[in-house]
Amino acid sequence: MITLTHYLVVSTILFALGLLGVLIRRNFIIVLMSVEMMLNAANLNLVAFSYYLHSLTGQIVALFVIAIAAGEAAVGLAIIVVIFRGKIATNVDQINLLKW
Amino acid sequence: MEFTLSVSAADLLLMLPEFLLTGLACLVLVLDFSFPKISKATLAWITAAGLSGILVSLVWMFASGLQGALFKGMFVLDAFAVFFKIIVVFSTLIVLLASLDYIKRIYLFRGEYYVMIMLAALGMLFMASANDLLSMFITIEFSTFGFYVLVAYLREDDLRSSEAGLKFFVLSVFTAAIMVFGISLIYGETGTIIFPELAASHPVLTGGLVIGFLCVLVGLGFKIGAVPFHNWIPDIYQGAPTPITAYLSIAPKAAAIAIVLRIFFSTFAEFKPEWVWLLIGMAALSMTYGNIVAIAQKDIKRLLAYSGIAQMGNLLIGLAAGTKMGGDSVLFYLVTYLVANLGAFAVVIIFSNLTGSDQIDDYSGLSRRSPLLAAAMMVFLLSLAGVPPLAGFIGKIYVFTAAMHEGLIALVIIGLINIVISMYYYLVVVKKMYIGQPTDHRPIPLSVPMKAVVYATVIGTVALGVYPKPFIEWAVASTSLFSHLIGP
Repeated sequence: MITLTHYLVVSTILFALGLLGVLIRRNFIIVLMSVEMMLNAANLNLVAFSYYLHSLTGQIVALFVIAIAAGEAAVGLAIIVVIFRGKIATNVDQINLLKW
Repeated sequence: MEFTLSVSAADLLLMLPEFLLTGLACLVLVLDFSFPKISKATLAWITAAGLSGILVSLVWMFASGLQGALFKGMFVLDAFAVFFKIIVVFSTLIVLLASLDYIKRIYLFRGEYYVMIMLAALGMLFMASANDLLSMFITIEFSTFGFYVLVAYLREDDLRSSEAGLKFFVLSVFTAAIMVFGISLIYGETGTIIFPELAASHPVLTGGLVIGFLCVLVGLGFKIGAVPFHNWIPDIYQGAPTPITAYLSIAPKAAAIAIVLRIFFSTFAEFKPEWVWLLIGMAALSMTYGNIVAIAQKDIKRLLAYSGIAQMGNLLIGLAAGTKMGGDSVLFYLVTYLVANLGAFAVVIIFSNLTGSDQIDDYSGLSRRSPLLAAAMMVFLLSLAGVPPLAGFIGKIYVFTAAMHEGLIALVIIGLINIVISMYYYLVVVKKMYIGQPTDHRPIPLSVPMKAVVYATVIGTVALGVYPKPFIEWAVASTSLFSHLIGP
């Protein structure tokens, strides 16, 4: 029997992995992937809650989150292409013109 | 389960400004690619005319007291939403006029620049009306998508711009992901995402709800740029095209403040004893951090960025008060911040159009090169510092009074100390402009739209300080939805 707790544990682990990925990895593509993982952890939560609360709201929210994530990937990759053209780098450490 | 969605024409009237803006954005986009012969300046003037029309429609909506909710309460229109919509459209108009000269530095996609500004504004109009966690998230992302593109708009011409765009993007999606996770937890604990239903369900303060609430606060704190979610502000402000910096410094913050007020003051109003400490901490940290770090800045855009962090701290004092008067003071403070800040950025734009520089040292002797600009900049900076009789003074007094009524004396004292600190770095710029020797003696030309922007913001700054009564009344009328917070 899979209970709500199982889903929540999985989604929390997924979220924590994504969080660590954003904070630790230095490549933008990986950072973007980690963010997607965090969003999907939230989606898993939403759908699990939706099922156990017998309300459809959570599933609708999850659909919108997927759409937003797709948009984010599109804009983010476009910006990475611009950076790459100007300065052959996709690593966070090499992007350092702005600091105080 | 069965869903019915009945929307009548009268209901759609509630979304009139949004429809007009969508139409305007489509019109400009189609004109741009179908008729390449139309000059970009013409497109800008069409946009400006359209935005003025939308502003008129909003004033009409405020005057007629139109209100209602659409789509099962996801979209709500009341005087409060209209207040923020007017702020957003007004700042969009000012930014558009201020972009007219600046945009000559951009070689490609000039027409799309106006469209992106309008789409970002459209997102912010919806933010002002967002009334549940889902529409909050979607509208925040909607407006931010426009800003991702706008911040990186200089592309390969100025690598700092694309770098700023990338940093903004990474940090923004990161906080957005945290916010969605928070939304999922709040939904799980309460079973609803609509603000009034959340308030009516009288949720118990369980661990999940607290974590969810804190996660949502991360996303909102990022949007308003308060410490400890301020890290993006200086870099993005410096790298972005200056009109976009001006836009970022006011419009998204105002729209996010609308959501923050709805969440803190009506949705989770009963947890005031718990959240008030969060706001007090954020206010004190933002003011102190922003003001102290601003002293060391050499770049005027970074100086204004740190000053903006500090101004948000001042504004949070009004939020921490947590009363209707606190809400009024926040709204009024936003108006005073809007005029002074947009004005200061307009001067920065004019200056960098001629010199290409944003260094504070290059402002030396500005009073001899352009007495009008130097005087205007002095008015804006003194207003931001809070010198009477300018707008910032009344704004700060109002916020402090609201906090005093709630007994937040320590916070007000921190605020007063910070005014003294901030006076220092604002006055350093004023001193450079008036006493310093210019290294470059060219007078600074002023085009007609820039002149209009500077005059409008100077008049606004002085008028709000000398005769604030109608604006205070407007703010008080706009927060009637918080009248349950008047208290004994």
